[in-house]
Amino acid sequence: MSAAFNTRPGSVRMRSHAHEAGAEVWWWGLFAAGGMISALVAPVLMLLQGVAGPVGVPTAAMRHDRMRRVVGNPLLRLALLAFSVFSFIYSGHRTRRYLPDLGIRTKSPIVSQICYGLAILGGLRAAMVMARVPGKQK
Amino acid sequence: MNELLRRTSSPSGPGRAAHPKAYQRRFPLLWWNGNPRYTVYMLREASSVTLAVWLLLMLRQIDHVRKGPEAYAAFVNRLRSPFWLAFNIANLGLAVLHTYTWLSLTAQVLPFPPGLPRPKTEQVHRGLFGAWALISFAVSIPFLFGGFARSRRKS
Repeated sequence: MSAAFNTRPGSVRMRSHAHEAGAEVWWWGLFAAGGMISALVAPVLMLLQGVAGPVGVPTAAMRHDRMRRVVGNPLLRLALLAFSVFSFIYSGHRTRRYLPDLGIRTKSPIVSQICYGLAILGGLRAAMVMARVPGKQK
Repeated sequence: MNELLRRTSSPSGPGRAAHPKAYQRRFPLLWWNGNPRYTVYMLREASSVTLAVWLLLMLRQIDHVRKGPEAYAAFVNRLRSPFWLAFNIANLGLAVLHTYTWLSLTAQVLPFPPGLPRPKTEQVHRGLFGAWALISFAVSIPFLFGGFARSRRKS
């Protein structure tokens, strides 16, 4: 009786499998969203913040007063937060799938937990940074 | 019975992972070295790791805004060092590789509702890369010109 009961839809056993599949589907969905957002936005931000500015192009990120005005805009901060959170999740999921190619082949769930855990921590860090940025100068 | 089910469930299901005798092919660590396709694949996958590192760097820079002009200037000066410049250039290259491969693949696998005329892959390709150019232009405006007028007025 217990075996039949356990495999019925809605039973604990069925629910636990549905939960596993559901989580995987969500991670893949977030991965797709994050992959697209980072593909469209990351290169131009990297170019302006990390390469063009340091080699002498007068971008806003190279001066404190200008950068403060740029990130003082709450809408832009919100957009940067969304970009960061989705990109971190994309990065976590892709890294998790990448590790077996690097020779790290373990059946333990600890790898997923570390990858997704770091991605969530990255998202929290982004939220903290965006919340603490001072508003526009008067 | 449950044990039997666990051992004989589908290859992609949880049964395979739990099977004690599941065959796992062993690869040399540098299996991707020697075939350019595999090397590009590994670089593309590595771009996800460097993206996360760069995101942390960008967040750190934004966090320095609240620490005042001196701390911010010191941080920006560090970005001018050859190490960080090389890191950012390499990172940019990997990000462009990710964008190129991602958009190219999306053009091939993007689902369209049945019944509607399906555009050619090249058309979707052009549309996606056009969207990338437009979005890059829009994103660059605040980061290129933001606060420019005010800083000129002040000086």
